Amino acid sequence: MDFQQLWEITTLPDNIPIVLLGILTPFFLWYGFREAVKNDRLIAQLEADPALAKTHHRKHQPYHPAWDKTVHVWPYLLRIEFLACLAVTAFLILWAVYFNAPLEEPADPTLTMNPAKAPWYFLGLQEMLVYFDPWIAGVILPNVIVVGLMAIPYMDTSPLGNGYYTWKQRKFAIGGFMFGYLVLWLALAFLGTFVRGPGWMIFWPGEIWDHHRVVHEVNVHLHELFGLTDTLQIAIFGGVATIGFLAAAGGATDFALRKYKPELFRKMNIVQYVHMVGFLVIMAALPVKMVLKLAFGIKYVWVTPWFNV
Amino acid sequence: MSDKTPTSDIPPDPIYAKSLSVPIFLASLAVLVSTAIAIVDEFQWRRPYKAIQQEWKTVYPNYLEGLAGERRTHVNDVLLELDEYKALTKAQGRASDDSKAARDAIQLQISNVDSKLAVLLEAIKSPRSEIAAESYKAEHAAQVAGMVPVTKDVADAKGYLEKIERINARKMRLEWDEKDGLLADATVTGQTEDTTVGVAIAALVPLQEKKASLQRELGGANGPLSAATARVNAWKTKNLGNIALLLDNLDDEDLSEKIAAKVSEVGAAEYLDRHTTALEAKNLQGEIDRVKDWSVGDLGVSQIHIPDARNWVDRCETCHLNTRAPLAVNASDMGGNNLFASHPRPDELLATHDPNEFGCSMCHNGNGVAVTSAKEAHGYNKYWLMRMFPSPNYETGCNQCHVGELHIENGERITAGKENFRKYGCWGCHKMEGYDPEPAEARLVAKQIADLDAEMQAKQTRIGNLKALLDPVFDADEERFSEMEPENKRQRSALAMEIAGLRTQKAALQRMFHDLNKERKRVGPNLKDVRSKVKRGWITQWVQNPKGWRPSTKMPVFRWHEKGEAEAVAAFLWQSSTDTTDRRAYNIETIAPGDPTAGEAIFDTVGCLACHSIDRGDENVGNDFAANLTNLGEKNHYDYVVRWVENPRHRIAPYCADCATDITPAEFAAGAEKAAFTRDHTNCPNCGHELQWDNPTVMPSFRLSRKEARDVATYLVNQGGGTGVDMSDPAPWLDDKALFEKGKRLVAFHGCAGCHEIAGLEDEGRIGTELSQWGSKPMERLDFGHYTSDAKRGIEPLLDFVAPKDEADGNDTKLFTDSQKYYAGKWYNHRGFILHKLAKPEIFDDAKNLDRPARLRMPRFDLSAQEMIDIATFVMGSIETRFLPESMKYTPDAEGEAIRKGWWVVRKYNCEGCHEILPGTVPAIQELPHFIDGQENAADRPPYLVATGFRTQPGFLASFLKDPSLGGGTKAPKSLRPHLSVRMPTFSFTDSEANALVQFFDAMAKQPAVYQPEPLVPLTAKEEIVAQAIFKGANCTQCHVVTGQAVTEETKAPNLTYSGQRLRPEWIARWLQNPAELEPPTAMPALFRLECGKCKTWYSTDEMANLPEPDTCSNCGEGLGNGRWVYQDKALKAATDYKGDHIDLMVRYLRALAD
Amino acid sequence: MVPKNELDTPGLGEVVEKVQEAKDLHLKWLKNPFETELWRSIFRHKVDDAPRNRSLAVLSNVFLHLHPAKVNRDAVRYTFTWGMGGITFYLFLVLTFTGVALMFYYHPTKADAFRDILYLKNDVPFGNFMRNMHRWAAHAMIITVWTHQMRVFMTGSYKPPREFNWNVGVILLLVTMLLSFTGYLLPDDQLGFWAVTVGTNMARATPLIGHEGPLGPEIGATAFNDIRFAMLGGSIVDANALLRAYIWHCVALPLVAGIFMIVHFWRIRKDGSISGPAPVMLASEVKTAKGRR
Repeated sequence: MDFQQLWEITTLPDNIPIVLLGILTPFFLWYGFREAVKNDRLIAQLEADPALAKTHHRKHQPYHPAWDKTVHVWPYLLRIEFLACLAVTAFLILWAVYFNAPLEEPADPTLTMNPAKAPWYFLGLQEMLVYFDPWIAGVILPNVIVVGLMAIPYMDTSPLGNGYYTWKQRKFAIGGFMFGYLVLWLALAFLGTFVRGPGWMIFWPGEIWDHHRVVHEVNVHLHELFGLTDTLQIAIFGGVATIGFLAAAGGATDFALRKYKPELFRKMNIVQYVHMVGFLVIMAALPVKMVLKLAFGIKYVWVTPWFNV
Repeated sequence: MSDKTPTSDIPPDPIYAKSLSVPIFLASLAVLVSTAIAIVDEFQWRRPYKAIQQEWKTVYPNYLEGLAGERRTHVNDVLLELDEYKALTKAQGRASDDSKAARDAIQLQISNVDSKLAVLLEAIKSPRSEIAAESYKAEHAAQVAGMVPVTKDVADAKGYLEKIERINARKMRLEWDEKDGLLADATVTGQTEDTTVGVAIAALVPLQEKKASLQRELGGANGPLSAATARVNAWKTKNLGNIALLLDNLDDEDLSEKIAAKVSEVGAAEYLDRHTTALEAKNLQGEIDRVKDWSVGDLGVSQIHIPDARNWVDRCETCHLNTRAPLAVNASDMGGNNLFASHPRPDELLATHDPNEFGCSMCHNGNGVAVTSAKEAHGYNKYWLMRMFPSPNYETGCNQCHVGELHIENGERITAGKENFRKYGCWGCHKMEGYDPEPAEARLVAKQIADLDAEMQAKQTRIGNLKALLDPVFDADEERFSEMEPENKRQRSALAMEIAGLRTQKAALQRMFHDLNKERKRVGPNLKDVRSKVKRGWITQWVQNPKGWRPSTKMPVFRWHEKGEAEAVAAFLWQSSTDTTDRRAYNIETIAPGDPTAGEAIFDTVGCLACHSIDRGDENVGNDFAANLTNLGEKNHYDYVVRWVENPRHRIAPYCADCATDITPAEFAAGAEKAAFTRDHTNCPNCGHELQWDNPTVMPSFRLSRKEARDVATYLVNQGGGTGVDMSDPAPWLDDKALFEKGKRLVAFHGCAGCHEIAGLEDEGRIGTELSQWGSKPMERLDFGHYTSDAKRGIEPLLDFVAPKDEADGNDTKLFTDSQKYYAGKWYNHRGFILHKLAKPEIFDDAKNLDRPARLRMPRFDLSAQEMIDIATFVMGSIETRFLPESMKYTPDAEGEAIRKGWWVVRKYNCEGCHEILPGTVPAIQELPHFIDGQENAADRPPYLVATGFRTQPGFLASFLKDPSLGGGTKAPKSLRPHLSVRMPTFSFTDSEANALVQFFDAMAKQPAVYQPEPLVPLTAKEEIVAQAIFKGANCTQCHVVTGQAVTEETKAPNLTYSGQRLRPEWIARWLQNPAELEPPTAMPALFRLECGKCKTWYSTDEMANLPEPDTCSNCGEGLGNGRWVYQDKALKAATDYKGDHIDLMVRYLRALAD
Repeated sequence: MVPKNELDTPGLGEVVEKVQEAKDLHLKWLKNPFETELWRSIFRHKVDDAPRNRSLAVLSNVFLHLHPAKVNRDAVRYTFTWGMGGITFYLFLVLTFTGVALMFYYHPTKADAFRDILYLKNDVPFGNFMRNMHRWAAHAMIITVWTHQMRVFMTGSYKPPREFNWNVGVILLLVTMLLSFTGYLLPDDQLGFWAVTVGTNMARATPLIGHEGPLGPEIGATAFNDIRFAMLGGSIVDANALLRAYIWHCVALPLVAGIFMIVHFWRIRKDGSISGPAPVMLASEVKTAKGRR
C-alpha cells in the first residue's frame, strides 16, 4: 500500500478546501445535533407532562423570568460577530501566507490534462457523468437540484421544528436533505477528488495513479440483455423500463408514506404531494443507476436515436 | 445594567455577565500576529536574496583583501613581459597596423573606383547602345555581302561605321566627385571632365581591371595578419601558465621562492587556479572599495530588461552577484559557494552574447523573473516550462541558435555531443536537423525533375497539335495557308526554345541529383557485399553480439529475445547480398597474396592510422574515427580486402534509385545496349535512369597500386593474435530459405536499414522518433513506463550504474548520483529520461507485458558517462524556441556560413585526422610513433592548414581536393609533396563538397570570396638569367623538387613546378620575405635581405624584428617601406647587378615554372 | 461705542488673549471628545451606556442598522446560527477588496493574463499574498455558503414566513458557485482551462439549445450558435471566453449577488429576524396551527 499518493492529493494546495469541508461538515453536524438532542429531550419531557407544557418557556437555554427577553444588539451581538470576523481574518491570512494558490502551465489547448477535473465543488456533477449522459448529468440534474431546493419550503407543511434544532420531529425532512447533500453531493465530491484518477478510473487510496492502467469494462445496454435489436423496439422497451421504474418507485414511496407518515400525507395538498414524491423518486434514481452501472455494467437503460438515459 | 426587579434573589443574566473580552483579545492578537507574519513573509522570507547579499558582502571583500594583501604576481604578468612574447605581439601589432592601414587605403581606392565606375557607366549607357545598334546594322550588311569582315569598304556597312565614328567623337562632360581625373588625356577642370564618348568607353575595361587588382591587394593585406594572430595564439596556449618559465624569468628573488614554495605546496594547477588574479593592484583596490561602500543599505534587486523578448526581465544577478566580476572568481574562492562564482570565459562568451542585450535566461532558460526562492528562480517549480539546464548540461542552451553548426566555438561539451551523435550514428534511426540531409534533398530534386519532364511533355504535344493544325490547310487552301503559316511557325519555334531551356534546367538538376546521391553517406558499411566480404563463421556471432568479437566497435548490441533470431538475421543478410559466385560476370579475378612486411610499412606510413586503429601488443595505436582492424583475417576474405583497399568506392553491382535495387550483370546483358558491366555505363538497362556506382562510405582511396593493395591486404588479413572466437562453424543456416522471411522481418523491425544499405530495404525510413525538437516535448508525451511515479519521487533504479566503457578504463563515476540541490534525485524531466534511455535503452519496458512488436527497439550503445551527458546536452538543446526573439537568433554572414557548412564536410571526412585546422589541436596521425621518433622534423607530417586560404589559389585547391594525384591517377600519380610517405587520398568529393571546403578555408583565413590571380608579366631573357642564377645559388632544389627531378633523402619541401597555378603571388612574396612568420613549424630559411633605399644597408628578418625604431633604417633613418628585397649572397654577381626587387623577380620566375 | 473693526491689526495683548482662549477650547475638547460638535456631527448619539444610546448606536448607523436594536437573548451565541451567514458576507467583502486590488494588475487578454499573474506573483509587493487571499477566501466562501444552507435547513428556518428568503438564498448559493467557476478560468493556466472546458462541455449537451443535446441538432443547433457558444463566445475556451468570464466575475455576478443580498438581509428582518432559537412546539399542538397552503 502506498499512501504517498494519498498524501500528495490531500496536501495539494487546490484540494485544501475539500479537506477543510471534510473537517468542518462533521463538526457542524455534531454541533447542530447536540442542540437537536437537547430540544428533543425537552420536547419529550413536555409531552410527558402537559401541565408543565403550559408554563414552560419551551427553550433549553438557561432562563429566568426576570431576565430581559431581548438584549441590545450593541454590544452583545456585534461583539460575537466581531470575534468571528477576527478569527476568519487570522485564519485566511495564515492560509494565504503558507499555501500558494496553484498556477500550472499556461493554457495549451493541444495538451489535455489527464485527469481533467472540474473545480472541486462541481466534482459531484462530474461524477454523475460516468453514469448518465451529459444532458442529464450536466443540465437536468443541476436544475432538478436547484428547483428541488427551492420547492422544499412549499412542500414541507409541518410547522414543527420552525426555529429550533430537532431530530425527533423532523426525521423525514432532515433525513431526506442529508441524503441529498451529504451523500449525493459531498461524498461524490470526495470520491471525485481522492478516488478518481487518470482516465477517470477508480484508484483506491494506496494505489498509485498509473497512467498506463487499462481497465476492461464491458458496458452493455439494458435492452441487449433482452436480445432486442430493432431500434424501434429498443426505444419502446427503454421508455417502458424507465417510466415503469419511476411509476413503481412513486407507488412504493406513496405506499410507504401512507403507512409510516400518514399525518404528512393528510396535511399536503395533491400538488405538493406529487412534487415531493417526484423529487424523492428522482433522488432515488441516481443511486439506482449507479448500482446498475457499477455492479451490472449497464450503461443505457433507454436508447433512442435522439437521446439516451 | 438596567434591571427591573430587586436584585437580591435574581441570578445574574449570563449574557450580561459573561464578557467576551478574552476571546476578542486573543482573536485580535491572532490577526495582529498573522498580519505581522504576512509582512515579514513579504519582505524577508520571500526575499532570500537579502541574506545572500549580506553573505556576499563579507565573503567577497575578504577574498579580495586576501589577494591584495599577499601581492601575487600573476603568472601571465611576467610571461607577457618576456621579450619572446613581446616580439610576437609586436609582429602581430605591426602586421595588423600596416595591414589595417594598407587595407583601409585599398578599401578607399576601391570605393573611389566604384564611384567612378558608377558615373562612367551611367554616362556611356545611351551612346553605347546607339553604337551597338549601328554596329549591328554594319554586321548585318557584311553578312548580306557574303559574310565578309566588317570594314569600311563594304558598301552598306561604310555608312554605319562612319556614324559610329561620329558618335565616338562626340563631346561629353563627366562630373566626378573625386579630384584625380581618370581618363588619361581628358582635360580636368575642377570636378568635371570633358572627353569624347570613344575615350570614355575605352576607359571602362581598365577601370574594372584596376578594381580587380585592388581586391587582390586587399586579400594580400589580410593574409599576414591572420597568420600572425594564429602564431600568437599558438604561443599562448603553449606557454601561458607555464610555472617553470615564470620562475626562471622572475627577477624578484624572494617572490620567486615564495611562489615556488606555494607551488610545491599546492601544486601548479591549484596555484594557477587559486592564487593568481587578473587584476592589477589599483583595480583590485577599486573593486574592494566598490563592494565596501555598498555595505550601507541592501543592494536590492538588480535586473536586466530584454524588450525584444516580450519585455522579459532577468534578475539572476540579484543572487549571482559575481557573474560579471572583473576577475575570475570560482567556487573555492568563495568558500565553496558556487553562487558567487564568476561566469566562465567572460571575454569569449559574454563578449559575443552581451548579458545587457541577451540577459541570462535566453541561453540558460529558467525563470529569471522570480527571486522568491532558488528553486523558483531556476524554474524547477512544478509547472514551469523553461526549466534551467542543470549543471553538467550548461551548454544545452547554445543549440537554440547554433542548431546548424557542428563545431561551436567555446562550446566543447555541446560540440562533443554533436560529434558523438554523428560518430555513433544516432542519426541512422533518429531524424535530426542538419544530419544526413541528402536523401530528403534528393527526393525534392527528383520531384522537380519529374515536374520538368511533365512540362516538357506538355509543350511537345502542343507543338504536335500546332503541326497537325497546319497540314490539312496546306493542300486545301493555298492562300489561307500562307496567311497562317508564319504565325504557326513562330509559335512552334518559341515552344521549341522553351523546351530547350527546360532541358538545360533538367540537366543541372540531374547533376545535382547525382551529387546528392554521391554525398549521401551511411553510418555503417554496405551489407550487399556480405556474401563476398565476410566469412560464414563470423557473421552470426557478430550479429548476436558485435562487442563479443570486437569490444571497441561502435556497432550497438541488439537484444535478441528468442534463440535463432541472430541466425535468421544473418541468413537474410547472406541471402539478400549480391551472389558473386559467377566471378567473371562481376569482373572479380582471384588475387595472389602479397608481402605482409611491405604491407605493414605501407599501412603505417600512407595514413590509414589517421582514421583506423590497430592493436600492437596490448596498446591500441591510431584513431577511433573508423573501425579497429585487428584480426581482420577472422572476418574478411582476402580478395575482398584487396579490392576494398584499392578502391573502397567501387560497388560490386551498381544501384538504380528508381528500380530501387542493384542491377546484375545479367540485366546489363539483357538490356537494350547490351552494355558491358563496367563503371562507365551509367544508365540503368531497365529504366534508363542514372546508376550509382559509388559506395556510401567516407573511406577514401589511397591510389594504391594493385601490388601495394595486395601487400596491405595480406598484412591486415594475417595480423592480430586472434580473438580466440571459433570461426570454423560452416553455418549451414545461412542458406536456409525458410529463415529469409523471418530474418527480413527482424531486420526491418530493428531498423538496420537506417545505418546500412540492405538489398530490398533501401528506402526504409528511420525507425526512431524525430529528435529535432525533442527538448520542448511536453512531459506528458515522454513515456517513463512504470517508472513514472519512481521518477517523480526520485527513486533511482540505476543507482549504482557505471557505464561499462568507464568501468573498462577503471573510472567508476556513477551517472545517476548527481546531488543537485533542487534537482536532487527527481528525474521526471527531459534530462532524466534521455540519460536513463542511453544507459539502459530498454529500461522503460521493464515490468511491461508486451509482445514483440510493441517492445522498445533501441539497441545498447557502449557510451562513457561523459559521452552520455554530452549527447543529452545536445539533444535537450534542440527545442522550438518560442521563448527566443527572432532578432537574437544567430544568422551568420557569408563568411560565417562558409565556415558553418565547411565544418560538416571536415568532420564528415575526418580531415582533422591528419591536418591541423584549428591552431593548437594535435591531429591523430602526428601522435603515431612513425611520425614522432622516426622523423621528428615537420617535413614528414601532413601540411599545416591553419590560414591555408591565404596560401592556396581557390581554383587549384578545388581541383587538388577532387584529384590529389593532379591528373596522374593510380598509374602515374604526380605528387605535390613527393617526399611525404603519408599520402593525400582521393575522397571523390562532389563539386559542392569541394567548393564548401575551399570557401571554408578562405573564410577561416578571412580572404575575400572572389579571387583572380594577377596577370603574369613574362621574364625578359636577362631577367631569366638572373633568376636562374639566384635559383641555383640558393640551391632550392636541395629541399624542393622540380618535376622530372629525382626525390632524394633531403627532399622535404613541395614540388615547385606547381607554384604558378597553386600559390597566390602575394603569399609567395610574403613567404620568401619571412617564412617562419606565416608557418611557425616550417624549416624554410629566410633567403632574402631588405636593402635600405638610401644607404643600401641590408637587414635580415631577425635584425628587422628588433630595430630600435620599427621599419626605419638604423643608420640613415630612411623608411624601410620603400626598400628593396635582395638575395642574401653578396658574392652572386648576377644577382647584385640586377637592380630590381629580387623577390618580385623570383615570384614571377616561380610562376612561370609550370611543367 | 464704535464697533471695533476686526480687520484692524490686533495689538499684542489681544493676540495673547486669543491664544489663551484657543488653549482652553482644545483642553475642553480633549477632556471630553464625545461632547464636541465634530463627534456629534458624525455620530448622531451620545456615547454613554444608556439603553437609548445602545439602540441609537445601531439604528443611527447606516451599516449596523442591518440589525434591529434588540435581538432574542438566545441568539447572541454561535450555537444556533454558527455565524455562517455573517461569515459568508464577511468573506464576500474580503473577496471584493482583494478582487479590486488584483484588478489593478490583471488584463483579461490571452497574451497578458498568464504574464500578469506571474507579475503579481513575483513583482508586485503583496501581490502573491493578495492572490492567495482572494483564492482561499473564494473557496472558504463556498464552504460557508453550503454550511449556512445546511444550518438553515436543520433549524427549519425555511418554514413560513421565510420560504421566499430561502429561495433567494438558493439563488445566492448558485451565484457564489458561478462566481468561483468564472474566477477559476482567469489565470489562463492549464488547471483553469481544462476545468472550465469540462464544465462548459456539459452545457453543449443541453436539450434543444445544445448542439450535442437531445433534439438540439434537429432544430438547427450547431457548435457555433448553441448555448455553449453564448457562454464562451466561441467554440473553445479562448480569448472571448476569458473576457466574458472576466466581465461575469468582476461586474455582473457581484452586482447580482449584491442585489440578492440586499433582498436577503431585508427579508430576514421583515420575516421576523433570525428564526431562533425559538420555543419548541409539540406535535399535539400542530392541529390548531393554521398551516398556510
